[in-house]
Amino acid sequence: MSVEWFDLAQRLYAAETRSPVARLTHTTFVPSTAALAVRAVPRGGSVTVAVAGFEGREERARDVDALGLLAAHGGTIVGRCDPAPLLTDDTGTLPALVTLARAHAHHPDPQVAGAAAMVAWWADRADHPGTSAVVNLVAASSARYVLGTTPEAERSATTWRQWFGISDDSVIGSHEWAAKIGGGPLLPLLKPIHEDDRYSWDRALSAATAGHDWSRPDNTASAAMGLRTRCDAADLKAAALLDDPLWRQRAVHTGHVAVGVASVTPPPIRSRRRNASLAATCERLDSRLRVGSEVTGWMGTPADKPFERFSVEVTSAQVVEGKLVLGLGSVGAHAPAPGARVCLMPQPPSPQTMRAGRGRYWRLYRARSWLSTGQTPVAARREVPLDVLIAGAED
Amino acid sequence: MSAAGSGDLVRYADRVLAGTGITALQVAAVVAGSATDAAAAALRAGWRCAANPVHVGSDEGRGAA
Repeated sequence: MSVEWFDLAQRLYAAETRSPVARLTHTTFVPSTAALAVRAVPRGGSVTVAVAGFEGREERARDVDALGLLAAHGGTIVGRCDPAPLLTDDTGTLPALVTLARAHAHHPDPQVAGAAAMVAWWADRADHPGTSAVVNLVAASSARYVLGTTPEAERSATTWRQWFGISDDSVIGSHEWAAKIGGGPLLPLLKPIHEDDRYSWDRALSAATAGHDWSRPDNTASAAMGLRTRCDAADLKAAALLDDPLWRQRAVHTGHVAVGVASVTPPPIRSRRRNASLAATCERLDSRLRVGSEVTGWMGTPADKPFERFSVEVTSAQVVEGKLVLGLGSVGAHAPAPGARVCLMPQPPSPQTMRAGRGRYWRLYRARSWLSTGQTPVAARREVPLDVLIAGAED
Repeated sequence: MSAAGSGDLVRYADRVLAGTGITALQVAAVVAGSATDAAAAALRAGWRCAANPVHVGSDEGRGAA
């Protein structure tokens, strides 16, 4: 894959211009004035938490007082209609908050217990790629920009603050940082994940109202659904990135987007088929589009993505005279002209289909079969139909 | 190239470019040239994408549905 060279050129360009280079024209999250910038540092069995609301000052507290401080800034599940997104600039804050929350999950003060439940909700949503409920500023910045540094240096919050000209390295500066990387339209396919954030928040509120103990392990059905929603979010995020013209240009070098020249074969004479068969002779051999992949394509370059797109399935993939030729089956609407330059990428998943699949999955788990409950079925004797006996005897 | 000012980046670049016959300090010349080997083409694509970022156009919006 040549993506390392592609990225390197962008790093060198950023170093040359002393300015971050955009990887995405879209944003991956929506900055919110309700967001809480938090930094939690565990030290000697105690956790110190620094919190700042939007345009607020930094406040610090330790242990149980820290949960009270979070609640005072809106970081609680009690008495809130809308969730406060969490902004962090390190990978240690959320695990430290979760440790604190577990220690005080059953605290008699409802605000402390509410903040603990809020932390649990943040931790749950943080596992869903594309969420806006928890924004790791370093990760979100790396998704959106490339710096004129080594990749190792880019993993440091200090490096990003320097490049963005943010002099305040306290949690107050995190809000300024979020504003720097949160501009522009949201990647369209992330909207369903943000709707899931909302759905998940409503469920968390209902569970808290019903007295559900979030610190208890999930039952089998909830654990299975949790895994499924995380996988769906990961698939949607991957597809969402390919909706961005800059990302598509990079994706040519990872093999996720293929560029080639179209060749069109008309249907055989007297055939009942009406649509022409399309093939694309690709410029590169390292395409990730495999036989059976559903793809979408258009005439033009990866930087374009016109409305006039075709949808096909890869029916064959072979190397002819050193070039990869993808057979794409028959194309109806928006078929490219023979000899036209075409761009192909995986068909994005349908959020509606994913939701329907999750609903079906949930119903199956709720049916409490021995598979979903994990309990070994008890052997029982019963009448065996004659057909089955005969079939068994024949085998 | 001012990247030369960052020793770490130059060392990293030389590591990534190992085996291509290109050094970090030659990248600007390579992207301005017409070499068609894989490394030169990828470097040129990355550089051009950085220099001319496209913006979300009206067609993109129309097709987003």
